[in-house]
This record gives sequence, structure tokens and C-alpha cells, in this order.
Amino acid sequence: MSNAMNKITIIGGDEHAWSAAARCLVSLRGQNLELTMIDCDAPTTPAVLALDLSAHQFHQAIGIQETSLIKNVGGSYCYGTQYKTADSVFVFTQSPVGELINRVHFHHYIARLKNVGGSVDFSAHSIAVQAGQQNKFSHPQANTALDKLDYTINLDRLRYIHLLRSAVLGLEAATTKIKHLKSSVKSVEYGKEGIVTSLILNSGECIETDFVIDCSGRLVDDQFESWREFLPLDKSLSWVQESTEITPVLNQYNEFDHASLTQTSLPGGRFYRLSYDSEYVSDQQALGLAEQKVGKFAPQFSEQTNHRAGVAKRIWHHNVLNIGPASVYAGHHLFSGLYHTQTAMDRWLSLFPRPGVNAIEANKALAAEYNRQFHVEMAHVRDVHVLIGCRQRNNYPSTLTHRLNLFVGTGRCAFYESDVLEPHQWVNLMLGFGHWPNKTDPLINHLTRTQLENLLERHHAETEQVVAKMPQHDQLLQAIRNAS
Amino acid sequence: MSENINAVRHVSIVGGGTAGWMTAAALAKILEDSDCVITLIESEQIGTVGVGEATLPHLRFFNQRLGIDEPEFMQRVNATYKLGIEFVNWGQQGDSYIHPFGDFGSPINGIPFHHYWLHAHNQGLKNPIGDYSLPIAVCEKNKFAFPAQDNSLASTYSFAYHIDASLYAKFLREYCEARGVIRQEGKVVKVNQDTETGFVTSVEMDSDVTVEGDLFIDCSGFRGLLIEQTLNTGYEHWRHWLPCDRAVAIPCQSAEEPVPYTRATADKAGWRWRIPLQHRVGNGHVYCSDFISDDEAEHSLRQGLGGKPEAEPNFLRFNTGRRKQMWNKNVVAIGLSGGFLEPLESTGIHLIQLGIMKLIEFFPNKEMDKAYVSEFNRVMQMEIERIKDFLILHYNATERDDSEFWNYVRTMSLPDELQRKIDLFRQTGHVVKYQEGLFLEPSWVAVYFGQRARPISVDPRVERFDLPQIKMQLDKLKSQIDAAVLSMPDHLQAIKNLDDPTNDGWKHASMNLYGSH
Ligand SMILES: Cc1cc2nc3c(=O)[nH]c(=O)nc-3n(C[C@H](O)[C@H](O)[C@H](O)COP(=O)(O)OP(=O)(O)OC[C@H]3O[C@@H](n4cnc5c(N)ncnc54)[C@H](O)[C@@H]3O)c2cc1C
Repeated sequence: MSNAMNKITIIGGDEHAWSAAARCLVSLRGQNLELTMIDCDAPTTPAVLALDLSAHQFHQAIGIQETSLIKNVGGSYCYGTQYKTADSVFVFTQSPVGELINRVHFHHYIARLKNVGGSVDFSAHSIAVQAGQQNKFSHPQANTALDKLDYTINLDRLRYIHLLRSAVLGLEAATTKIKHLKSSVKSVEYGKEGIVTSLILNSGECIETDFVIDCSGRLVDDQFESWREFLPLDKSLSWVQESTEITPVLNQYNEFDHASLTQTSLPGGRFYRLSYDSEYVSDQQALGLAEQKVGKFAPQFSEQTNHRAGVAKRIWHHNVLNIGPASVYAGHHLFSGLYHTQTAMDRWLSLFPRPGVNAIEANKALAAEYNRQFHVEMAHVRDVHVLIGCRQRNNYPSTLTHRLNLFVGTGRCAFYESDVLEPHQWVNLMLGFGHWPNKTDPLINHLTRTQLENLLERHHAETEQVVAKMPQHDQLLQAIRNAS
Repeated sequence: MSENINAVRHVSIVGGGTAGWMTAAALAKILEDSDCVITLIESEQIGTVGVGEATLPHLRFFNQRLGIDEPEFMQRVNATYKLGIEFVNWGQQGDSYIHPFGDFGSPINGIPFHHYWLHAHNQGLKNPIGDYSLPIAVCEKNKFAFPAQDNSLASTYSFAYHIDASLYAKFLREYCEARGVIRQEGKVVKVNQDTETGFVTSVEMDSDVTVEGDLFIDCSGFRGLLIEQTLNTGYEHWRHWLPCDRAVAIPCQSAEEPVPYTRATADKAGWRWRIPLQHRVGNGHVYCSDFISDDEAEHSLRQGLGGKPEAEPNFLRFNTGRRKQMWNKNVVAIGLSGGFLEPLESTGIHLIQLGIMKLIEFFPNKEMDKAYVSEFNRVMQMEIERIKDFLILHYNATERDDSEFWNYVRTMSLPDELQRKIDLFRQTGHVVKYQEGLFLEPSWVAVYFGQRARPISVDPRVERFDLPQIKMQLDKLKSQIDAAVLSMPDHLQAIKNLDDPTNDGWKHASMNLYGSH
């Protein structure tokens, strides 16, 4: 360990590792950074990654334009996910549904109509859902009805890793050295108080380091908080199938007994993941289920993986930061693993470690704060996934129970520090899973059923008009791909 | 308004201090078109605390929601502008700093400004961090202008007022009575409860009038007539951390032009406030009775008065802490009945406002849904606890060892949350961030550095800059600040300019604590 914080080592060759590297290079520009990438476990299996809008700024900083994600990485746009469970069918979208009318949130009007006996369809008022169901897509446009649209980009994982790697390796500059080693870690040398001082590689090379970002799970702390009681699906079977059909703007999520199936799409292909509880579903049965659900099971590729839902208790321990699936796994629902890596890196950069052997106390304090913030955030992530994936409502974490009670009792969204969803996104999820408020904002209690019906009908018609003018998703993708 | 037979049709407010009238005004406005009756009971015989005179920028939001015209309001309550609080003698005798309604510099490469300043300071920079905050410079030059609405330097602050609290209550009373709020004068002598639910059903007054209600708002001050004396809700005491338990107030004539900030001067066993209004100056001494007597406190206050006293001393006693539930059954405690944090950061009226906003957000039906009650209590507790920690910091982050009081507060054990925040700051200069909560990073930075708390290390990423490099940037910022201040009118002139209807920058100015930047 030197007296500066500039020898940073990243272990791993997946999207987490390269994305962490890119973040370091952008944020530590001009800091005499010596970045060593120990490129091990580079994935060879296809998958679809979802990137949300927060990735834009960082992409721009490393010279990746959104159009090149569509053009060169086989990307497509996505407005949300259609959920089908035993008792609900709905679309979750990141974008707000409806708007504030006379200082009252839109969902109160819908809930009020339902409570006075009217029939309601929340999705009918969402531009994103309506567009998604017609396979249309448009970017947000300021000062129009589209200005609050939010979307993600689905990407071919392997091609994205390739793109990121080239971008990262191209960022070498006078004040930034990048060492890219295709090897893996054989052993670790520790100094005072458990600080990692160097890594010995299989190639025999010894890498001195000030800080290690481990995306390989090798150095992960063994203290783990399991979420299995809420999220029991511990195995998955994933596969890719070719498709000549149009590229959907909505992902699919189907729930069965002790299993769920997600479908994400890219132009020309569908990526499926069947998650199941190995206590009830054998690997063989999973294959049967897959065949039964998607018709002809003719994968270009398939893979079976074990998972353990939960989080590592100490994400930052001594001078090691663990990111990637070994540190947190909650299923493949709303948040991609990459989202967690991005927030993990942002947090680390805001609590940047202190250099030198005398900084042990300072770094302990930073790590403790890091881990505290991480766990506050992860409790919300857990709640989101429990709401989606856990049907035993008597078994909910107390924070989720409070959220639901408050929403059902008042139509309000509870405020929690470091929440991971916007209030309107919680509303969308809660309504979708059948948690309807039985009381609404008193400010609209005077509205009659007819008044509410007229208001909502007008709103629905306006939504339809907006959607009618939006382009087809595949046309837009094609136009981007054709543009020089 | 509602066909709901469970709707609250009668709200009764017990107490006509700042809390009572603010609540009545907000409910009168929001329930304007409903058939809900609002009654307010107050007793001239008991009187009000009436010393809350320094406010926070959020009060402007409250007034604007009521449709109150700011220039008229300022004239009616003899208001002056407030851009922050000057703390004198807190870190050490002779020290002084301003906690502004605004930021210090702005982050560079994602690293907070104070790390750059600290690194330069460690290398010999003499300027205090306050030199890089526009509102502080405005205070020091006794000027005032409305903040800008863009992302420029001129948008990096916010403002509030100093007001005459009794005039404000009077102003709101007129507002309420014009909107149908019924005022009952007299003393509540008996409280009736439903035998089954324990809900308060009515209060009986010494005038033989009985006032019923579906929802009762307890604004009866420290005594908590309904929330405590009737419902025995319980109080969590914070005396260990905030030991001051008394105050004496004496307004005096103004001897000089009003400044656009409050002054809080640390004393032997507490501190003295000085709040400049248009027509007089509000003064008070908050102290801990374990360490000095009432006479000593009064004497010290009188010595520091800048002008001729205008009234006899008003002695007050209080217990810092919070009501365990601010909403219990059908009683919501707003104001001093809900808890008391001493007025060091002028948070009393803000907490009243917050309680009112949350009550409106969770406005109940007659049966008082548990979901509303628990969320209201959870959010209010979170807010008050965070303010508590920030206030404790003022006492604990000190080097003063010249009296028993300061020795106590400097060495007392702290709440775990606060201890963690202070430890992290002292080790690394990192200020723990909240998304919500009243006082955010700039406030903590102001108090930490203003009271001599110095981190052992700075963010290593700023260490590659040497003093001349940082100083060049800091000098540039300082000269921009100086130029901005130069173009502003004097504070008194700015108050006079309110007569000019084209001077309407208040309408659009940011209402958060630190400006729109
Ligand atoms: C020393 C000190 C300084 C302060 N400075 C500031 C400051 O600068 N800024 C700030 O924001 N806040 C400040 N505060 C807080 C602020 O003063 C209070 O939040 C504010 O005055 C609200 O008080 P209240 O209305 O809750 O209670 P009170 O003013 O005590 O009013 C209580 C009301 O209840 C009525 N009442 C009580 N019992 C009965 C009964 N039995 N029957 C009928 N009526 C009854 C009384 O007549 C009165 O009308 C300060 C507080 C103190 C103690």
C-alpha cells in the first residue's frame, strides 16, 4: 500500500468489472491513477442487460452515445414489464401514469372511481403502457405530453462488455495507466489489520495495490444476510431463442407455482430466464416447464445457475469493495445487477478512501458509513422484490407492511430515506398487485361517479391521441441503425 | 364537500398561540369549500409564549399557500429579512461565524467544495470558509436582494423573516375570522372523552360553553392540555443533550439599523438571542437552571441589550424533548404541545408548519385510521430527531472550557447517530447526507467549521492541487461574490422597496433552505 490512493485493482471481466473501471477512470481523471484489470471469468454466456437513464451521463463521459448502443450492441428500448401472476395482470412502467390534477395525484382519481363502483383501468392512462402494448416508442420530449417518459435500454450483454472494454482501454492517458491482465488471482497478501497489500496472480505476477474492487466474488466477506425466507427461488435456467418477430417494448414476467419466467427481447432474439425453487422443482422439471411455457424449446444456448437471495453484510471491508452478484442478489426483476454496481460505485466515489497506513481509522469510518447506506438502500430493494416475488403476505418485512397499509388506508406513499423507487413507481406496483386504496384524497371526495368517469375518459382519449402519433419501435431502431 | 358520513365535520383547536392560528388558517383555507366547522379556543388569561420571532424560508411557502401577499405581511408584522444566524462565542470566546440560508462554493469534479477549502486552509489559507458563501457576504455588508431563479451564483441562497410573533397571530386571526373560523374566548376547564374509545368528544369552558369536535388539535402549549393532561401520551426528555430549561425575554428599542440575520451569542450557561425587527429588537437568554440563577440570566441579558428595554422580563420554563406520539386517538399536538427544541436554529414555527402540512396530507375521517396516525407520527419523529441532533452539535462541537456548563456539554455522551456523524466528519471531512430532513450538508459544514471541528484528513483527490491553484479558484469566487453584494441595496432600503409593486422577486424566489442552486 502506497501513500496515495492511486493503485486500484479490479478483479473480474464481466460488465460489473468494466463498468466499475469506466467509473474510476472518469471520476479519477487527473489523479495519477494506476488501474489494474485482472480480467478473469469473462462471461461467455449471452444475457440481456437493462440500462436505465442514469447510465447516460457516464456513457457520455466515456464517449459512448446512446445510438451506438442501439447500433453496435444490438440494443432495444423498453418501457417496462408486463406481470402475469395468479391474481394480477398489469404493466409496470418507470414512467409516471397520469399527472397531478388540482394538486391531487392521478391515482387518487382512479381509486376514487373504483371505490364508488366504477370500472377502472389504470394502464389505460399510461402513455408508456399504451405505447408498449402497441410496440411503439418515443424518447421523452420536453414541454410535451411525453416529457416525463422514462425508459431503459436492453442490451446484448456480451457485446456491451466488449464495447465497454474497448472504451475503457482507450481511456489510457498521461495521468492514467491501465494494466490489462488476462489472469486470475491465486493468492492474496495482507498487511496490517487485514489490509490487502498485493495480489499474486496465476501468471505469477504480483500486483501491489491500494484498493481492490472485487467483482469476482473471490474476496467476498462470508457474512451474508439471506433473504431466502422472502425470495425462495434459488435456481435459474436461462436460454436464448431466435425470433423473427417484432421487438417488444415490454418485458414479460409470468409467475407459476414455485417458479417464474421472464422474457426480455432484443432485435432478432428472446432471452428467457426461468427461476425456480429447487425444493419443489427439479432441474428436469424446470426444463419441462420451459418447454411447456414457450412452445418449442429450441435454445441457441441454455444454462442452469444457483442463486442465493440476499446481501453481503460488509460490502466494503478493509480495502476491498465487493460488487456484482456475489454481493447482492434479489432476483432479476426491476433492478438489473448493473444498476447496483452503478450505485455502489457512485457511493464509493462519494466516500472515497484515504491513502496510507495511517488512514486505517478513517477508512473504517468510511466503510462503516458505506455499509450502512448500502443496507438502507438494500432494504428497499428487498421490499420491491418481495412485493413482486413473494405471495405470502403475512411474511412481509415490516417496512413493506407499513407501506402497503398506508397506501391502502390513505392512498399515500410512505416516505423512506434512500428509497429506490419514485413514489409513482411504488403506486404502479402496489396497484398492479391489487393493493387498492380504500380511501382517497379528501380534496376529491366531492367528485361524483359521473364526473370522475368523464374526467378519466377525457384523459384516456388524450393518452390515445398521444400514443397514436408515436413511431413503431422497430422502425425507430431501424432508423437509428441506418443512420450514418 | 363529502357524502361520507364518516367525514370530519368539526375541527376544534385548543390554543391561540402561533400554532393555533397557523393551524386554523391553513385548515380554513383548505376546507374553504367544505361544511366543516373550525373552532379555536384561546384564553387571554393564560396568554401565549409569543416569543417565536425568527423563522425559516419555508414560512414563505406557507404564507403563499394561504394567498398572503408578502409585502403586506411584512408591513403588518414589522418584519425584516433573515439570511442566516450569526453564532458568536460558540467554538471559543471571541469566535464568530454565520450559518447561512445558502451554500458554500459548489462541488468540483463531484467533490464537495469544503474539501478544497480545507486543503487550502491546511496549507495556510487564512480566509474562513464563510468568505465563499454569498448570503454570508450579504449579511456582513447589511444588504439584501431577492435571490435569482437561474443557476447563477445569485441563486445560491434563500431568505426568511424576523417577525413580531404576536402581530403574526393577530394577522392570522383576521385571516381566519374572515373565513368563518369561530373563536371562543375562555379557559378550558374540563375535557370529555368517549368511554369506549377514549376519543376526546368535547371540552367545557369556564364561560359555560361546551365545544365539541371530531378532531381536536392541541395547540395549548407546553402543558399539552389534551395530548398529555387528558390522554397521558408520554414525553421523551432530551435534557441530557439539550440541558437548557429556561429563558428570559426582554424586547428593546432599536439603536441601529436592523441587520438581515439573527444573532445567537453563547453565554456562561446558555446563549442569548437578538432578533432585529423594524420597530424593535427581540432579545432573550436561554439558559440551564442547574448552572445559573434567573437573576444572573436576566442580568446578563440586560447587559447585552443594545437599546432601552420595552417591557418587563418574561420568564419561561421548558423541557426539551418530544411527545411520544404527536397524534394520539383524535388529538393531534401541534406546536409546543408536541415537543420542544430550543430556539437555537429557529425551528419552532417550522415544526408547526410541518405538522400542519402533514395533517393536511393525512387528513382523517372520524375513525382516525391507524395508517394515517402511524405515518404522521413516524415522519414527525424523524424530522424532530434530526433537528435535535443538529442542535446538540452546536453545544458539543466546542473548545470552550471556561464554565461548568460548557465543560458538561463538551464532554457529554451523544446520541449514537450523531456520534457516528461527528466521528466520520472528524476522520474524513465527510458530511453524512440525508435526502430529506431540514438541515443538509451546507448547514453541517457551517457549524463544524464555524466551531473549530477540523477533520484529520481531506478527500485525497484534492491533494494534487497546491495552494496557488486552489487559491486562484477561491479568489475568483470571492471576487464574484463581492461584486454581487456591491450591486445590492442596503437591508433597510430593501424593506422600504416593498412599497414598489414592481419589486416582486419574492413571488418566485426559492423556498427551500439553500436557494435554487
Ligand atoms: C424562549 C423561546 C424562544 C423561541 N424562539 C423561537 C424562534 O425564534 N423561532 C421559532 O420558530 N420558534 C421559536 N420558539 C418556539 C415558538 O415560540 C413556539 O413554537 C410558538 O410560539 C408556538 O407556541 P404554541 O402556539 O404552541 O403555544 P403558546 O404560545 O403557549 O400558546 C398556547 C395557547 O393555548 C392556550 N391555552 C392553554 N391552556 C388553555 C386552556 N386551559 N384553555 C384555553 N386556552 C388555553 C393559551 O391561551 C394560548 O393561546 C421559541 C420558544 C421559546 C420558549
